[in-house]
Amino acid sequence: MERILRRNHGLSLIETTFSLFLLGVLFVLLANLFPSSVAAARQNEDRYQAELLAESLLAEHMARDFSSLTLTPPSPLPTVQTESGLEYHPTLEVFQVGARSTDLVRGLRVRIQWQVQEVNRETVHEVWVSNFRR
Amino acid sequence: MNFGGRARGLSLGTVLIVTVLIATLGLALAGTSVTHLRLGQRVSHETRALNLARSVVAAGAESVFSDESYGESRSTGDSLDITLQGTDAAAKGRLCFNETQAMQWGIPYSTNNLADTGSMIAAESQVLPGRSVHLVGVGESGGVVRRVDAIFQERQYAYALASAAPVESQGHLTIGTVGADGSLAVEDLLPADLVSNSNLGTTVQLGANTLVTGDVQTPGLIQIQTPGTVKGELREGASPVELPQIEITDYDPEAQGSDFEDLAQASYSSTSFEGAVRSGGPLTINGDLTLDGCLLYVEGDLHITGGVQGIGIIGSSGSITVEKAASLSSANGLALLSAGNIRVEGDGYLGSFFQGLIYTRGNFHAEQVTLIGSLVVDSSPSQTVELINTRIFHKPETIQVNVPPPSTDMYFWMPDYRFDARIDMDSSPPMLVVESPFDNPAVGNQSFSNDALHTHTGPFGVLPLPANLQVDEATLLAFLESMVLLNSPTLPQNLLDQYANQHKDIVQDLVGTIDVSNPGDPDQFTVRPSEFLKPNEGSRLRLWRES
Repeated sequence: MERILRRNHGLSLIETTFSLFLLGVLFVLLANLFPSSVAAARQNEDRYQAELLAESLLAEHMARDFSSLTLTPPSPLPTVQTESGLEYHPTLEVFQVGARSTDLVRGLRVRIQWQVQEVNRETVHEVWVSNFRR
Repeated sequence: MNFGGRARGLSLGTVLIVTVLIATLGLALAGTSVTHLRLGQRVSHETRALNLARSVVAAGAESVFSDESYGESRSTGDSLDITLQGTDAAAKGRLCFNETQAMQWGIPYSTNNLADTGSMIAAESQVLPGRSVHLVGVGESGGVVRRVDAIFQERQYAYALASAAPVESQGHLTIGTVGADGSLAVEDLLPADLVSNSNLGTTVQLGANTLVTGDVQTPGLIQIQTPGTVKGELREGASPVELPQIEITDYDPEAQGSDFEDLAQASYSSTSFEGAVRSGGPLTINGDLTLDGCLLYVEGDLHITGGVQGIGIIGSSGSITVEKAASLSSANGLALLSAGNIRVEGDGYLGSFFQGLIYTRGNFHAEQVTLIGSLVVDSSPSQTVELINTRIFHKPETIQVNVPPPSTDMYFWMPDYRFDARIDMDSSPPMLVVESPFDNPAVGNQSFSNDALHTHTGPFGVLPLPANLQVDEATLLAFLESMVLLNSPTLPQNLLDQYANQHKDIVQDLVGTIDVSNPGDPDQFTVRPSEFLKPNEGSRLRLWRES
């Protein structure tokens, strides 16, 4: 082993230079990848939370008695703030489904709006519910 | 530092290893991010696909219960293809009744069996019960497919007790639906609900010896002493249900302009009534009252010291009291309709029964009795429903009460025999038919003034009548005299005239009770609570499966 080490010791500068080059390229690539990946992951996380919020609001209203779902235009619901400080602004609309009887079916639509770096984002979830006892 | 001098020859290998490690780490990080993104998207598509499936089933239910023939013919037009706001353009919710269309869409077909009482085979060889509809909704979003199966079953008026007033029970109380074989045994009972629409505090108070096989529902509060049992749900704070609203005066033959018999007395001993009968003031029956296809309307209070039985409708602008309920009989089908209070008492709930519909606008009190049918208390929330040692068994077929059209039968007394006669409204023109007594085996071998008639078969005589039944009096008398002479050819003229005139009066009285324009209308006086059910209450969701 010592003989091998002694034979190779003259290449250390080239090796080091090449190593530094490789590492540099890799770091540049990762440095470019990392922020966009983090941003995408953050956006995904924000959207996912918004969709969970929309579904939970829909589920809450679907569980209510049908007669309490009076037809209403989009109305704001309480704002929800995450631990990171992001604010979600939900609205709920109870609407007539086309020309269908509102005694038998009504539509629920939840719209969640939030803002990231001054860019407005939103997600819309909708479901139609019928007036039948289980 | 010797180590550094000795190891510098390995730097390329070391860097390559480090590079590979870092690259692997980087790729793993990127892979995790992508997986996370995809997972988030898939969850989003799943919820949207499920919402699409739920929505199309809701729309399908609306279509079916707005038009019960929807989907029955399996037409391709009876299909739904919906989108929802917030979903991709390609995201769809689909439902259809046509098998070919379903195959093209790659979804199971739905089945409407509401019109049939028998079961039928639905999609995927499932057996669908009669009076039911099977809806299969399929939602697809971003390649994720979710399916919702729903079975709705039509139902009749299902409340054993529905009241606008608070309900209070003492002692024994059983509420259930009579078993399929008519059994009243507790283990055979099917679910039946108790509802109070009152919201004045504790609106349902049930004793410890209570069994309710269905739900107890009220906008107010429910109190049940232990160990009282409710097998269904306790639904406090629930929405009020729609109660039948019956106009008592709809059952007043005078107000409706129908023919009726006006009762001359204010009290009768045990008696039986038939047809439309009206009392212009309070009426007391000292004993039992039997209704034989009768509509009895009382302007004032009705007091029956015995029981009431038979088939008919009793309407009262005042209160109704029945002091002794009758024994159980499948022949009984009654409706008690009162603008005031109703009080029904018995000698013990195991042996005293009232079978039919009870509807009151006032207080209701039942004691030591079993009520089979349905009880509707459409009063104010401040009134009361008191149940003391009572059983209420819901029986859908007994709460719809029809008073049959007036009888077209009569009989004539001849010197020797009673001749049955009738007006045949089914023939054209209508006929007055005098039957032969020899068609009755009980009299067939007895002596008769005119022995030649012993061998006679079929009616003795038939007289065609005008469409309005207003036969000429001379024609009618001549026909009736010929009938009497058949029986007694040597009868003196004065007796012949007497018999003919008596029978003419019988015929004319009967003609007066027949509604010529609609003689066979069985709905002339009908109580049908299921008419008051909202479309959604008229059917119940039996299955809701999301997959």
